[in-house]
Formats: sequence, C-alpha cells, structure tokens
Amino acid sequence: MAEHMTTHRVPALLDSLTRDGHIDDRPAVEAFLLARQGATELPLYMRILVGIGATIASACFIVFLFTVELIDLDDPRSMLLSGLVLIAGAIGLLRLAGTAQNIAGSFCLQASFAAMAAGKFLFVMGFYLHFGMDWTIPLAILIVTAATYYVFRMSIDRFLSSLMVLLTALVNIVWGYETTLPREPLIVGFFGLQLAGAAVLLTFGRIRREYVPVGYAFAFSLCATVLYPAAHEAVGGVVADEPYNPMVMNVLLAGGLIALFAWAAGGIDALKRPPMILASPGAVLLGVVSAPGVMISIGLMILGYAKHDKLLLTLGALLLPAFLWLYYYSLDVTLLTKSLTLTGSGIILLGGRAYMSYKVQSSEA
Amino acid sequence: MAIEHVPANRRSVEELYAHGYLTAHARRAALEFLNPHNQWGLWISRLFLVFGCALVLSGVVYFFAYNWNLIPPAAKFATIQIAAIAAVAAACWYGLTRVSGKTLMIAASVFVGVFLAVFGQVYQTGADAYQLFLAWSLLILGWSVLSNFAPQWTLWLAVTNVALVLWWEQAALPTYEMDFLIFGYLALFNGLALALREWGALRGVDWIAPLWTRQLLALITLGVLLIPVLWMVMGSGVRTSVLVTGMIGLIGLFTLYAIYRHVLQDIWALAATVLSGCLIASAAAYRVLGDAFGDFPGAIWLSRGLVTLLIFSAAIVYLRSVTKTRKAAHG
Repeated sequence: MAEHMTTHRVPALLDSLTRDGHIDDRPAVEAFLLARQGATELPLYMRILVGIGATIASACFIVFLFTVELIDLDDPRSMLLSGLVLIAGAIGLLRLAGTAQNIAGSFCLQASFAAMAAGKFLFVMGFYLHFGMDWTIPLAILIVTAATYYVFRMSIDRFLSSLMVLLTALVNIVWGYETTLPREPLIVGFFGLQLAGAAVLLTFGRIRREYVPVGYAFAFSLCATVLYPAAHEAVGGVVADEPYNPMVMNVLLAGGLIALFAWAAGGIDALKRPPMILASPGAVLLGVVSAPGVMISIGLMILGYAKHDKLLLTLGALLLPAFLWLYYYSLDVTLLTKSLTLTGSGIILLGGRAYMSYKVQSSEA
Repeated sequence: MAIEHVPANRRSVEELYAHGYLTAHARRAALEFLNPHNQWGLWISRLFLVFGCALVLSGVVYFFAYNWNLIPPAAKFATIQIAAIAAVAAACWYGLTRVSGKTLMIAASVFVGVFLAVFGQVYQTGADAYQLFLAWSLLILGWSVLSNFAPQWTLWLAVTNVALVLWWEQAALPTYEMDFLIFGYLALFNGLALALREWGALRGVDWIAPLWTRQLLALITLGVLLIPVLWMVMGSGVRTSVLVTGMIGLIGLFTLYAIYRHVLQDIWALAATVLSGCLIASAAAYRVLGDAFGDFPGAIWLSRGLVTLLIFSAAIVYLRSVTKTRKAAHG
C-alpha cells in the first residue's frame, strides 16, 4: 500500500504554505529544516549491506580472538578488556572514515561497525560470565549502548543496540529469570513502557533526531513482544508456565490507537467529526475482541502512512501475516477461540469500511 | 544537503510546529498538503478492507482447522461451498474492476483451499499433501487470470511454490545426486513470474506495476538462485545437481544484475543482487583462505574478516557510484 503514499519535498511544502500566507520568514524555516537534517547517512539499502558485512566480519574477528587465545571463556576479564579495546578502536575508525566515499573510507566505516559489534558482544559476554546472572545481559548491553550512544553516531548501531537491550529484557521477563515477581504484571508493564516509548519518540516533534533509532527499536520490540511467546512454542520450545491474559495489553493498545487516530487526524477535536466519529468506539471494540498483534499491526500501518515512513509501513504489513502464522501455534487458547477473535476483528474492520463508504456516498448525494 | 533534496514529511511539520515556526492553523494546512483528507480516507478504507478480509479468512481457516466434531461433515462441506459460491457471486456483482470484487475473488480462492483441506480431514484419503496444493493451484488459476489483481497472483504463486516443493519431496523422490534440482525448478518458475511481471509493467499493465511485486519476486528468485551457488562455491557435498543448479544460479544472478543495472535501473533490486554477489565472493574467499592458511587458524579467521570487509566496502563504493550516475542522469 506504500504506492498510495505521495513523496513530497520541502520546497513544494513551503511553496504551498507561503502561498496561503502561513509562513513569513521562509529562509529561516529552510535554515531550520536543513539544520535538523544533521549528517547525511547512507540510504537504507546500503545500511543493510553494511550491517550484513560487518556482522559476518565481526563473527570472524571474534573467532580469531578465541583461536589465538587473546580471549578465554574462563577469563571474563580478558573478554571485557578486549571488548573495550575494540569499542575504542571502532570509535577511532569511524572518525577516520569521516565522510570519505572512496574504498578506504568505506572500509573504515565497515571495519568500525564490525569492531563495535565484536566489542559490544565481548563486553556483554565478559560481563555475563563475570556475574553469572541472566539479567546482567540486558544490563551490560544497556551500559555499553548508553556509553557509546553519543560518541558512535551510526544510526544502525544505535537501533540494533537499543533493540538488543529490549529483546534480552523481554526474554528474561517472559521466562521469569531470577525474579520472584509475578510474571503477568511484569510483561504488561514492559509492554506499556515500550508502547509509551514508541509513541513519544515516533510522534513528538520536539524529540531530537538522534533518538529516532530508539523509537524504531521500541516499535520492533513491541512486535517481538507479541510474537515471541508463540514463536517459541512454534519451534518446539518450552511453553511458558502461566499464559498471560492479553486483555490489559488490549486496553493499552485501544487507548494507543485512539491517541494515534487523534494525532494522525491533526488533533483531538478531529475525533468528534465524521468520518472519525466511529474511530474511538471502533478502537475500543477492537480492544475487547481482537489480539494485540492485530492492533499493533494496524497502528504501525497508520503511523507509517501518517509519517510517510515506509519502514514502519512495511513492519506493520509484515507483522500481520507473521502474527497470524504464529498465533496458530500459540497453545494458550483453542483454535476455536482464536477463530472467533480473528473473525470478530475482521468484521469490525469491514464494518468500519462499510461506514466510511456510506458516509462518502451520502456526502456525494 | 540542498533544500531541494530534503523530504517533507510529518516529522518536518511537527518539528516546525514544536519550535514555533508554524501556528496550529498552519500545521493543519501542512498536514493536509502532505496527506490530503480524501487520500487518507481512501487509504484507511483500503487498509480496513485488506486487513478485515485477511482476518475473517484466517478466522475461517482456524475454525475448520479446529475440526469441531459436533458439526457433521455434510454441514462443513455445505458451509464452505456456499461461502465460496457467495464470494464468487458477490465478486461478479461488484465487478472485477473494483477492489471489493477482487478481494472477494481472493476469498473464494481461500475457500477452495479450505474445502480441499476439510475433504482430506473427513475422508482421510491418504493422499499426499502436494496433491491438495496442486489441486488448489489448478482450481484457482482461472480466477487468477481473470482477476488482474497482484495479491490474487501472489496467493497463486505461494500455493504453487508449496505444491512444487511438496511434489519434489513426496512424489519425485529424488536421489541424493539429484536433490538440488528443486532449486533449479523453483528458480525457473519464480524467474518466469518475475520476467512476466517486468514484461507486463513495461507494456503498461497497471495492476502488475506496483514495486512490491518486483521486490517480492526478485527476493524469492535471488534466494533460490543463491543457495545452490553458495553450496557449490563452499565445495561441501558437491554433486551433479549442485553443479547444474549452481551454474543456473550464476547465470541467473548475472542476468538479474544486467537487467536491474542497465535496463530497468532499480537500485533496490540491484542492491539485493549485489548483496548476493558479496555473499558468493565471501564464501569463495573463505574457501581459498582456508586452503591457503590451513595450519594457521588464527590467520584464516583474521584474513576472512578483513576480506569480508573489503568485499562489502567495494560493493558500497560501487552502489554509491551507481546512485550518483543515476542522480546525474535524472538531473
């Protein structure tokens, strides 16, 4: 559905606003927008290429360090130290790469990311082996991510590191590692935290662009939160002790959808006008009937469309089939209940479409 | 970056508003410019239609997978058949020029698959699963031809690919020597679909032109071309079928490269082809370096890491140069 999204450039937008008298000082606006762009990053397809190459190379370097016995699994300090040296090297290499677009600059950029990935991996492994507790993994990733966030300005590293913090925390929470706290409130609390994080970072205009990768990490992690338990069961993993009730998550998501509708429509007042008047009751109804995966998918699609963000749009579009596939294997409810959940959600959406068509036809008549 | 190249999107507008460059009224005007009211309505309406149908159809599939014993087989068959006929009738009523009609045709196609699955559940015919998918593929082919709808063809391609793989495993029963030939068949089948897509798009067939159809088919084709080539290059368990499909894979990859670099000039498809090339080159280098430094594992892994970086760096430089050339060509 991305092809229905028009791509605009700033001059066209400013022409339109100037023509209607909304802008007095156009040069100042242009200067502001240019300043907000920051350093030009590689296009997404190149970042994916850099990420894959650097991941393979970092794995080779880690095996190399083990092979020449510079690091040892019985000696966590050697891993911590090697990790820190590699991280320092990565920062130096990134500075060296600068903005050069030749083979040397590109090599330094790749080497820098590979060294950072290897360094972070070794640091986290060393930290974990030293303390021997599962929660030290997300803690170590959090520490190393926070420490390098402002000195290693590569958005793919910021995104992946933030995502790893959230994913490792998710695994620990879902399987209740090293905690006697009740699992359900922990999962719901973690889910709510991610939802709030994604909402703030992806929709507020005052948020600085360097935090956008964290916003994406929250969005991806939200998807993982609804997919992970079912995915684990689908591949024959152990079923979680107490299946959790998705109702509270649905309440949070229904609230989130209403807020998203209001934001996308330009303000809370827009919800009181047709055809948006049924949006809020529809979201509440979905909260009662539907499953979290479906609601997140719809939310991401709407957010992606409103922001002209193809990544979020694609994530939302891929989440639905992935969720429907894995939901089949989820063992906490019967296929009959799942069937009713999905059919009910579908009927609500088709009802929404029928209402919109009716409003269009009646306004034309 | 020049202001002409800065994209205007919701973020730009929210930033301008948050920093006082736009009033609330101006913000609304800017948002209306980016996403006009009627465009939003159309998009949301389509989203609800696609998601609504996907969810209802999944619900139906789940329901029959539940295999509820309280429902007699005749009632199950009747329900599915009535649903399929109703979907086809509604599609005819709406017409296949409207999205609603086309979506109903997909619903009918899914009901055919559900019917075949329930038939297998009830009669326990002992037939192999490939027969179900093959029958499903043949039965919905006519509707796919009539529909002129990319999602309908996507469903048909998915069903046919599964049928092909299951047929290979359950009926063709290849020997060890021949087992890799399935990648050749899959590459030919999906490559042909991709070629038809490109041919249709070039001749102005609208419904096949959306970019996602190219991206989906190109990724699948690249995937099935890449596996045998990697296997051949790594040199483990090389046999006749690996060599044949590996050669097909190399020819296919060069063809895709030439088409997306020189004829159609699609940077995403080109990047995916270049990525395949990088993986093959890295695999070849690993083998050569493993042989060269056989007694020095440290040297093997260090050199493999460095060579990987070199290969991917060269790819980045190459893609940058292609992007620059394209930008220059487009002014």
